[in-house]
Amino acid sequence: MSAMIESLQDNFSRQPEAPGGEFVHQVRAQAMKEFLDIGLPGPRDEYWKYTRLRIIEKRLFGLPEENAVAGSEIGIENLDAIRIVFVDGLYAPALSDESVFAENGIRLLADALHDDPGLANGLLPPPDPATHQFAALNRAFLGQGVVIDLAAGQELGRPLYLLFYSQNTGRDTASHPRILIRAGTDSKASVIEHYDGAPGNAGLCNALTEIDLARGAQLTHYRIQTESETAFHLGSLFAHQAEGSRLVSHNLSLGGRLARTNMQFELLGRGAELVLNGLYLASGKQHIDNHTLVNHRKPGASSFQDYRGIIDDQARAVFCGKAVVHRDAQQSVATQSNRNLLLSEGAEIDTQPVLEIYADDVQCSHGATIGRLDADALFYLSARGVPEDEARGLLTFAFAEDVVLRLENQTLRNALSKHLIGRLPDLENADELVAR
Amino acid sequence: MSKQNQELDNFIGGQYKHGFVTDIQSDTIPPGLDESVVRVISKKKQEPQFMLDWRLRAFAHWQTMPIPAWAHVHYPPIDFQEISYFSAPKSADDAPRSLDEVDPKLLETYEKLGIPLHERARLAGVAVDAVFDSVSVATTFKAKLAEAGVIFCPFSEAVREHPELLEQYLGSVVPYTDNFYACLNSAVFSDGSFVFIPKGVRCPMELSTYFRINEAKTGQFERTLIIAEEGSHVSYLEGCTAPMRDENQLHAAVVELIALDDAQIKYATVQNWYPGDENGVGGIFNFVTKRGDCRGHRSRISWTQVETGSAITWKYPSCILRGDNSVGEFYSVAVTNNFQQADTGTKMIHIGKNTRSTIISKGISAGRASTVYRGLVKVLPGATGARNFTQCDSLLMGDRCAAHTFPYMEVKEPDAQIEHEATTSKISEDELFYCRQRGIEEEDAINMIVNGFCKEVFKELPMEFAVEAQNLLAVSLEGAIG
Repeated sequence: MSAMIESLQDNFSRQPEAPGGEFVHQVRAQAMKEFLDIGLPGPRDEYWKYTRLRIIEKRLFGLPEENAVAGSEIGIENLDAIRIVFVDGLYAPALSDESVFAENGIRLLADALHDDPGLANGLLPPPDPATHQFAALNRAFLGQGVVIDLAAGQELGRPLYLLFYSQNTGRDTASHPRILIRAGTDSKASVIEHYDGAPGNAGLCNALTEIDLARGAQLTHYRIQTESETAFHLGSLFAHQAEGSRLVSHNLSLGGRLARTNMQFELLGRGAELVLNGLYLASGKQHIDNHTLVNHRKPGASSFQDYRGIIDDQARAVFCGKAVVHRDAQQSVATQSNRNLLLSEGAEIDTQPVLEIYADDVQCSHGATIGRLDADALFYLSARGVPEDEARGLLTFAFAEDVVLRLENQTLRNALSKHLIGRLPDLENADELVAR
Repeated sequence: MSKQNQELDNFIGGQYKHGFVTDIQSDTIPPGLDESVVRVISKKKQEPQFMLDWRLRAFAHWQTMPIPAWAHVHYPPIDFQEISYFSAPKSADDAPRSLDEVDPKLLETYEKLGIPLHERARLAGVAVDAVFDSVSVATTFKAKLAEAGVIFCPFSEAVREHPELLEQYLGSVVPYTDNFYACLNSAVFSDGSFVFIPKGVRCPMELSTYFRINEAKTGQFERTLIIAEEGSHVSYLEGCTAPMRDENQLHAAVVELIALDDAQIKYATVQNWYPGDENGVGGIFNFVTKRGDCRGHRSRISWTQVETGSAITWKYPSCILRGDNSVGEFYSVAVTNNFQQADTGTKMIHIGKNTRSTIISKGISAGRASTVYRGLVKVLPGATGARNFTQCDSLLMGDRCAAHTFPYMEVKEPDAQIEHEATTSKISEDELFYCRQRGIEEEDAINMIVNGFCKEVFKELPMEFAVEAQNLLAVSLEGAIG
């Protein structure tokens, strides 16, 4: 048994008592058993073909300390949003807008489990542990997180900003936050999940989000992962969409030594619409893996997917985007685009755009490209006196910014543009690009 | 039932036109597989020691291999002890020198198939090395080829007469350890074709082989090896039909191509083996390993395939682009109907500098069939200037069929450009309406649209095959959909 699993087992036996009593305790124990039965993905596991967990296996992760401390300057500044902060996986009341969220149908998971232990089973049928052992692991440590219940017709006036911050205390900890979003008929909301950490943090964040959209519900969901370059991130997102609902998912995987995100979407009604907008940026020795799966289970739903990646230095990125149109899901529209920029020797990209189609009256397409910057565009800039380095920097930034510009929230856009400028090469004098 | 479904059923009901069995006594060894069978095959072929040793090593390795299950196909487990591993027409003992010596019954079979061997050979200028079950029975135009220095002969003959070439090249592209079925083939391969084009020679004619599976319960394990030396050029055609059978027959061939500096190999296949009846009973299992090695600089290997037959097709003609500036191409049309399943595609491995590859794959599914495109484009570090373009389109006919695309792209070189695009759709109402409005019968319109869909691939086929392929498609799509 690997050191990591041993430390997780030890955490499991020492973790605080389950909120919601015996029932939740049972759910946790069952989930831990499922996780241990499956174990870590092996070398022949197709779902983990390009992502080996060897570098995590030998790590030891402890339980987070009770008295979490962190400055108030963490997270994205000046964001006009309802703010809930978790430090090292534990709720930090001093940093959160406690007074505001209760009345909006927003509860802490611990409180919600007290009222309704049944929530421990999640909103959606649990995913198959054979491929989603980390979802089971998340359930085994259930206790921290947020539950959002939107009543029919409810509109959340301000976005909800969930910050999961990992400190650098010299002790590596594992956190397992859970976010449950249940949006009633024709409700509307915007939720920002932000996973961030102090430089040097080498903990594990195993987050899981479940989204259940009723008829006509609209959700804009941001998943922004900017953890330290030494941290480990395993994230999952599962969403069910009823007819006429619309989900816009912005997924920005920018941080982590090793980061893997699994996202699965079930389109369960006519007119359901899904927009996936993604960006991954891997530099140094980062390994960033994004898996998306879209299941068209009922006729007349659409999904539009656009993921872009930039890979620099010795980094490696993996993208697997799969669209499945099930039998009788006629009039489905599924498009997918994945574009990648390799910036240096030693960088690697592995991409798999997959289509599985079992119905005939469909429009499905995917496209993927891997390459370097357009020589014509470089020449255009050079011909106008822009030095080559700068031209490269500008074009690389523009490639990534296309994704960022699709974010609806301006404060987020600016913050992420700044992040990109800080990360991408040859952008020393580019700050004015953001001031728009 | 709607009109569309009726017509679809007509289409599905189209009978296989090449189903008959020639009644010839065969020298068949009893079913089963162990080391002694491998020795018997080798002995019957009067093979040199190195060949037997190689077969035995392969057999030993095969016994350690698990049966692969990753393909997107479903079939009952194969009992490898139920298969007879050698079958030769009786007349093979006194090897025929010319067509006159060939068993007239065999010639009759070819007549029925529409392959008048001598006529075809004379008219089309094609040298035909026809394989009937396991032993080649007729080889034509040998003299003309010999004049050019080209060696084109049955594999077993090459083993005896050119052992030095075999020892050098056999298994150098597809080693026996490669995969389960290639390994099995290496142990028990029966016969096949061997082609050697010497330095600077442009092969004076197109080479062609017809593979047939005739004896019941006889798996065929063909092995083809084509070597093109520096600056040479060869175009090779392969086509096949098989008689109607109720029991699934296994076909596990291996094809190895080697292109040295500036050499070009064009390999075209029309595969029309028995696909099973409308209930999915019978049909050939076609599990093939085909791989080309662009070993030399500026070499070029091109695969073209039209796959309309077999119950299950499982093959990925691939190119290893080792030499600088080498080029790999893959053009494929796969048509499946009834319960047919095809899991096919290619691998392009870019190793040399400025290597280029093109992949054009067209899949057509009808009835309850499924076609899969599965492809890998891999660019290794140092393969600067590598370029790939991939396009795979699927056409669906009927609401019970399926089409899948599983591309893999692994790139470790920043100076590479990879493009992949894929679409899946049915024949558009607009296109059909356009044709119908201009007085074109629905069936003709569909044929026209489907032919247009496949045009990019057909134009890569040699003339004779392009015609044959279009006819094949027209037959397959008789009374297709509306």
